[in-house]
Amino acid sequence: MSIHTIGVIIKDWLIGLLAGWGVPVELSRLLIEVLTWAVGAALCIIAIMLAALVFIYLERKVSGYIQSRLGPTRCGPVGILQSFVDVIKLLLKEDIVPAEADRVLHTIGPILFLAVSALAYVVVPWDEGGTVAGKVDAGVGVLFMAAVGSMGLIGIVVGGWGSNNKWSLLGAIRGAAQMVSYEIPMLLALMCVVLQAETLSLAGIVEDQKGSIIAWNFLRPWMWLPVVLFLISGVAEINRTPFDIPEAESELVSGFHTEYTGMKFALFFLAEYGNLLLVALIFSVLFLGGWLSPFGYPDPLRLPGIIWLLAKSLLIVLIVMWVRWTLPRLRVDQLMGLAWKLMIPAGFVALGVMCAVIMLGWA
Amino acid sequence: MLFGLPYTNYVEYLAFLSVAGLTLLGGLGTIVARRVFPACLWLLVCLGGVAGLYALLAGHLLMAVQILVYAGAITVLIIFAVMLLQRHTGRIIMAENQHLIGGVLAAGFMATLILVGIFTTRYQPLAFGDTPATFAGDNVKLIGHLLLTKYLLPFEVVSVVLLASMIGALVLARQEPGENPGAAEAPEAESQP
Amino acid sequence: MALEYGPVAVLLTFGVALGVAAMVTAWLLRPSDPYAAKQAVYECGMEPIGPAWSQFYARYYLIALVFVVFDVEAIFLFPWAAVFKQLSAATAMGAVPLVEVAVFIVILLIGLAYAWRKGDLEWTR
Repeated sequence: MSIHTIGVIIKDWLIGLLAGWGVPVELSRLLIEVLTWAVGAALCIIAIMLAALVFIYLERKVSGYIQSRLGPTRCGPVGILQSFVDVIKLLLKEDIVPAEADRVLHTIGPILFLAVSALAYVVVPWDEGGTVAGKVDAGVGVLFMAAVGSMGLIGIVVGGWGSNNKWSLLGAIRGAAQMVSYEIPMLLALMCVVLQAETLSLAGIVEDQKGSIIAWNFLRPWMWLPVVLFLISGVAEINRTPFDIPEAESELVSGFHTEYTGMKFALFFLAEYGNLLLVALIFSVLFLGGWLSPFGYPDPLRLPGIIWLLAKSLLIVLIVMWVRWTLPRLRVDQLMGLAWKLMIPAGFVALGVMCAVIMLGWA
Repeated sequence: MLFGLPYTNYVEYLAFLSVAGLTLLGGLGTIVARRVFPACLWLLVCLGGVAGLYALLAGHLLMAVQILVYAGAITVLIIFAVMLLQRHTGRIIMAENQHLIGGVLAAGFMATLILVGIFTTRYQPLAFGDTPATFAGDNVKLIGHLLLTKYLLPFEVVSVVLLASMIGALVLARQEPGENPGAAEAPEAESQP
Repeated sequence: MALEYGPVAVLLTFGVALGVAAMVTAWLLRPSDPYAAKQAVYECGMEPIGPAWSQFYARYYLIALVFVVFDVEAIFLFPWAAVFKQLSAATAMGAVPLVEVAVFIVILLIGLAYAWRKGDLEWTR
């Protein structure tokens, strides 16, 4: 039974219940519609919070194993409660705002970053028919995702400027330049997938890959360049090492959040781990068949699609973490050179290859 | 039905009022903000509100364009421009207008023009539930189809316009070292990465 | 219909509410003991000279300019991408859609080549 079917059953039950209380059907339909939005939005928020809790622990463990140490071990068995302890610690930390900072912008920065980062979750197809804002996705899914994704840098710039600290502002401005530069190769990679699937909808892109693992985009040779481009620009968009120029501990203290403590700092991190999950989800949808089972459609194992989606995303997250703890940070000039002189030309090459494949009728 | 209108209409009116209010608030904030950087952020609110208006009109593509290009790209461009030109973006700038009479005349002329436009247009009545035109069941595909057929010339001209604007802007913005008098006389204005 | 964006609006509200709620909770729980040295801007122990809000490197502006052009280009190409397979499959059109878009892209690539040649993509010089 898919998420969609369960939703329909619950909706019908609620309409019946409200009708029993004498509420007009039309009004109860509207109320249930609004309730569905609220439930969907709440699920997106919960997904981000869970992502942060799980990934903080995972990141510490993974980095520990990569660096031949154990990672957290003290809080609970194998340190599994570490994230909760972190949350409590951050809640109890004093909030320090520099005297010369712009207090309002300093506060708005993290809230804006979090609120905007969450938005792209509405177009993620969790299961067949399981998109929170299905009609937005059907209209411009991929573009909506890219558009709200590009807004995240505003939160960083607001926080960096509001701190009135030279490190913060430098980190924020470099971050903004980095995020705009890597957006172009990302859009070009997305365009290749759109050309393949003939739709802007993320749910439609999954539909296009319907079948077992051999029908997925990452096994089509003309998709290999977009796969690489999307993975690199995705990591750059969420500011993780080797692209963590906005933070850059060894050169900018800690970049745009130098002056952030306690809960404001936690909100930045919540949003960053939310973004990490989002990029992994989108990558799975674009190239790894989203909620599809690798054994064919319908799934012979009868597992809910969301399990497959999350399993694929977790794999991507682990790869991204592996990259983070293996590669050193790029210098700013190397970073910009990579985006403009290698990835953007490569993006156009990928687009040309895709066009050729379509003209030859192979796609 | 409430007062003869479906309930969804009230939700739409409420959504329109809040989004339109946000747009106006952003516009107002932009002109009354006393520092340059907050003014940019108010402009962002205004542009986001306009994206909301497009969303209410079911203009999916326009909404995405508004966010991606205006709220995302143009705002960053403006912020960078401000930081390039202003030696101190946190400085309180004058919010008073030195050209009051000219400004009032221009604004009055513009307002009259818009009001005349609004009240003289013959509006096509549009039934609720009217869906946008489509090609193969998709509005965006229709736009793509039209760009390649009916509006091919404008489509190609756009690329030339983009090229011209890019080259022009690059030539204007490119500064040879030592050619910028502002940076030379400002010892505190370093920030070389 | 306009109500398609309901979840987006609700999620935006929830995101802001989450941020505000987290800050209010922390405000209720945390200690507060500000003094001048703690509230000073952190600059590795040095006294900061002047505010951070200063003039910036022109290169950022050039990058943003080129970015805006390519962003607009991408926006124009997405509707084409959604329909290209269908149009090229229609035998009446032949290679026409491909040529049309190739012209569009090549004109913009001239711009990229120009910026590259003139050193606008170099971060340092």
